[in-house]
Amino acid sequence: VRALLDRLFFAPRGPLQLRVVRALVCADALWIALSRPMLPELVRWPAAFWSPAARLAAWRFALPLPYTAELVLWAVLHLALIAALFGVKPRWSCAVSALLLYHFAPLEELFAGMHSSGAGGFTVCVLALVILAAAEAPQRGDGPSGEWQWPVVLVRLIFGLTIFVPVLGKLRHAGLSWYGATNVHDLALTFATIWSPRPDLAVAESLWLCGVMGAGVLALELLAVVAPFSRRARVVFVPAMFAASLLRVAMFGYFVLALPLVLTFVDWDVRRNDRGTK
Amino acid sequence: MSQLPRLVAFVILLLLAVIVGRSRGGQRRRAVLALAAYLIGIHLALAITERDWWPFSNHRLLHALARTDLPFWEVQVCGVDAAGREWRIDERAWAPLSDTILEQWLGGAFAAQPPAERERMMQFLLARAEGDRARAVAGSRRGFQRYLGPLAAPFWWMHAAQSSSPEPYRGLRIYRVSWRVRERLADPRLVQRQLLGELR
Repeated sequence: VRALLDRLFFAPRGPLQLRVVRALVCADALWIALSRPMLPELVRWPAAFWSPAARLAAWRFALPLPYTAELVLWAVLHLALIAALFGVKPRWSCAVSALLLYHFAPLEELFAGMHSSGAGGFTVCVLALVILAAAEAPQRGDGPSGEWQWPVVLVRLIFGLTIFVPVLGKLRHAGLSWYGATNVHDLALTFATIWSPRPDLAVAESLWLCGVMGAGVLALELLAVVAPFSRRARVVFVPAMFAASLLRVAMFGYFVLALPLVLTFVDWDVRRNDRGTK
Repeated sequence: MSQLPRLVAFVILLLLAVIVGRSRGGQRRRAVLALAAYLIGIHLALAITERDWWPFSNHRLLHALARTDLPFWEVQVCGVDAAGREWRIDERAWAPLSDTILEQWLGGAFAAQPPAERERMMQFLLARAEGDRARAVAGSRRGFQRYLGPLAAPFWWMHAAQSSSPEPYRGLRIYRVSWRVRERLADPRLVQRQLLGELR
């Protein structure tokens, strides 16, 4: 077991992959933060929006602070993410980014009682930044080391868990029928009534295609916890995850905000080495 | 007190990360494996117990079987122009709040507010809707697209863009719209609208 764990978490690799993973996590967080430009303004929304439940939940995120303080911290968050993105004091900038994201991210959903079950965009980023803050920062000229492997595996594992753990809820509430053609068909019809204009139902009308999609979703969810540890699984997982996400947007209007982090599953150092040997 | 275990769960993650960061050699390896075990364990525990301790989550969405015979509902906020025409307000008016979150609040907590508070809320929403309408008419970037334009990250539950009135809004109406899937697929007009609030 020890040898297996050593191989999975501490196999020597170059520092490039860790640098790329850190840049991807920071870029994703920055992309979402720049797409929520007035987030601190929510502390100034009328008091009635802050239900007793929201106030109760808010204290563990140190919310709300005075508006000016929120604006300053919001600016610091952006600077910290940019610093981490470019590898400036990466451990400190990742730590500051993680703590400030933990503070700000719940604002998006607090009024409705954090109802999205982790679908808010910052969820994976907060956990990944904590991991990256604990990791050694590669220096120029550093060679292969197990130190550059385990943070990459853990960031991938966090993403993989977000895809895998919903399986348990589906099995508990619906069993394997959730992945059956009839349920996929009914889900598509249900969402077609929510969306306007109504999406093309050509795919949903074919029970055979719905069955294939259901089986594909189950396979993808199971693959998500294998992919952090298996290069072969990653080769399938990356394109499958992008394809499934596009299909999910088209049929259900549900966008995975952490989708860019699928790119952390690409072995960038292997690709560079491959090019080098050609 | 229900928030305390949630906070403790995050603090444990931070402590494990600090231990990893400060340790060396074999101790560091053990700390990394403990961190991995903690991440796996807490996600599985929350999935099994169906709790959400953000940023640890059970990621449970659409987990039940779809039922096309059950009624569905959504909340729609409409601006009313001088001619009395209704315009559904685009979700960019509420940014950084999404339509989904506002809907949840309007469909629940809004009704429990006293009448005077409800009116203040609607005045607030009308001011935001009118500000967004003015930006739309001026061709300016709006809401979550203010900095990044069409490259901005949408909300996780995407909504179709709504057209804005060329004339200022004079009032606001909030509806609870409900339907049954099979009926609405056959005829999109088969919905029931219940007025939750109106500002004239």
